[in-house]
Amino acid sequence: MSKYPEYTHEKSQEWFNRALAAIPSGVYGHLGPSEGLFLPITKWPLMGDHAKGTYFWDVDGNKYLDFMCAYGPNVLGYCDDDVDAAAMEQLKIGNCTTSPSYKMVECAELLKDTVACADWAFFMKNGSDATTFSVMCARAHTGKKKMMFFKGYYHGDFQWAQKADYPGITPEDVANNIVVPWFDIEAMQEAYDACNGDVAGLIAQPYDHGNFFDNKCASKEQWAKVRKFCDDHGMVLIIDDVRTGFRLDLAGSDHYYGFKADLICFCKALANGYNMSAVCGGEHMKNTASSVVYTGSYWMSAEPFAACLACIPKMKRLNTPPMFREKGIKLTDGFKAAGKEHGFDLVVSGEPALFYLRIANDDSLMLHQEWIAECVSRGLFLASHHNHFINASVTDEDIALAIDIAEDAFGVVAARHPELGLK
Amino acid sequence: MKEAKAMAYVNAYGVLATLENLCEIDDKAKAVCQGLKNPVAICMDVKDGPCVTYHFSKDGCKMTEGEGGCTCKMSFASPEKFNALIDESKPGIPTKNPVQVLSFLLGPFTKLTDILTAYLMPSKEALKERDFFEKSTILTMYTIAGAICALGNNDSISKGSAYYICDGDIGMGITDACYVTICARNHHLSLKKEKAANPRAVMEFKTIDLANALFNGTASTMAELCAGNIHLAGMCNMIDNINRILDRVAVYLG
Repeated sequence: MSKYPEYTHEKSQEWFNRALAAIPSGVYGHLGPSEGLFLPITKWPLMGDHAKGTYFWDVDGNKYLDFMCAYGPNVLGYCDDDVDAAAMEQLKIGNCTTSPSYKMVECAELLKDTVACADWAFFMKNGSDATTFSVMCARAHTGKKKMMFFKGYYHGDFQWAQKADYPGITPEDVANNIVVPWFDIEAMQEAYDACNGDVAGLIAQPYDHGNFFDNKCASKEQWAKVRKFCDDHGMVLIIDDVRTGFRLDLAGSDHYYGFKADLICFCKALANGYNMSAVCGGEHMKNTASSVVYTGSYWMSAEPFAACLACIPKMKRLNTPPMFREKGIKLTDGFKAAGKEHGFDLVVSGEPALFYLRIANDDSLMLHQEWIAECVSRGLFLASHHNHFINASVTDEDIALAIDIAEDAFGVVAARHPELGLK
Repeated sequence: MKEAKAMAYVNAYGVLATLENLCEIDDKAKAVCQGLKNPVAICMDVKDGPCVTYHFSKDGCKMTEGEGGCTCKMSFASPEKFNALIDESKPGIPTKNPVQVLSFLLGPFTKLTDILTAYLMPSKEALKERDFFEKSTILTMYTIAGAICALGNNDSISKGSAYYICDGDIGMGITDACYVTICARNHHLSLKKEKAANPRAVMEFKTIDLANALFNGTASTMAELCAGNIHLAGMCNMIDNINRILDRVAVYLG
């Protein structure tokens, strides 16, 4: 018997039906069910109401202990008092103005002081804005055309970052993309030679944190070889730190893995949910960045800069990366032990701050999806095929509660499948 | 843009392969088979394209790859020539047992393909009859499934989708109506016209009406998925890539 009663979602469903009538797919993208993350859909909250710390509440009043953190932006805790106060104060005196606020300069200086490879910062709104700008810079800097990617890449949803078989994408949109296996220097060389060296750069996440498969951490040695390859071939090395940024290392994930990127893209953890992204780069890329025509209506709005100016110093004070690692290990060790109690082989992979989970008892993820659904419908918000996120407001009590709900959910799934003889 | 070679595989493995199912569920098609004095196995051999044999007997129709067991054969100089058989009823060159080729082609084969065409390209009027509507939807499902495999293996864009499909069986179906299994092995897709015994991923349409609406483009896969009318389970990335090939099926068969 489960000690955590299952939630119901009547109001969520009502709102979602209204959404379906007014918005394509109701809630598109990763926050909605269209990407197959909500299976079965009846177990999931579809519309939120409010949030605080590491919890959010849906429109039915159900409370969730959330390890998805809005898919990353919640790095200090939802509605962090310090960050929100800075943002609100800025809002009162000016946000989107003709002459940009000096907060933008302070923000760039803060990033220069924080990020190891940064001699400058350039601001925009979303991760896709940042990766796109970086790729444009690489091409402008080298005068070359093609970009190299590691297999399974995800660098946002702009045309160049999608694949030829995606709706609305033409083969020409992605004709200059070269895909090679992760850290396969031989394959990189072959691909480089195959296009007579017409390669502007490589864009990659700091490690393979893709979906549906165990995440694979990188090593300093692997990155050292890639850095050397790029140097030897005049390629710009871009690190897409949109998801991982400030969770592994406040100086950047390239710093964490012992090398220096030419360009690095940040977004999610910059301002604890206030909308901004940034590209930082070395001095050698600064003139190129100046030459690229790139801006947007809200990119210099002051409120997110004010939030960032409160968020990054607070992350420094709390020294969040080791904290995230420690909490991630504690939480996932508890999950693994709880699974083992019921005969489940729960595999934990990736960096602990962004842990990825997979029940390995079957190879279809169906058992895993069942377990995730039972966790979510009891108030522990996890995802079935995406990495998770730790935020700074997670307490030991939260971790204990999460493990208890997880254990309860394992029991529910085990009881449903006597044919598996799990114990 | 359609590629002629991929279209030829769609015609062979998607459209004509549905004769198997037609001869199982349609009485007129069954009667055509019953009228055969002797079994006929006609091979369609396409240069730079598919080579398949359709075996017809009183029991129905069965498609096999290659020319094994064929009693007569028609050769096509190119995928375009083979596609003209489907689009314009232009036959290829009989290269084995030409008498049987011509008599079968002009007789039973044409009757069967005419019946199949009526189901796969139905009139609005015909669809008002429930039995026809259901059979049309089921046969379309088999055609689409065959076309998915044909394109995943041959269409340059769909091959990109198949590249991201890991090994395993994908179960697709219409609840209580029909099921198929798409088997992915080393990014090559093949079709079994049966329910998957041990799928890594499942996509099942709740009703035959929903399946029909999805096939004819009046319903949105994404919206129905979000509304919970399509059952998904397992490695959704396999389904995701199958759906991308499905978009290409619409280009080829739309």
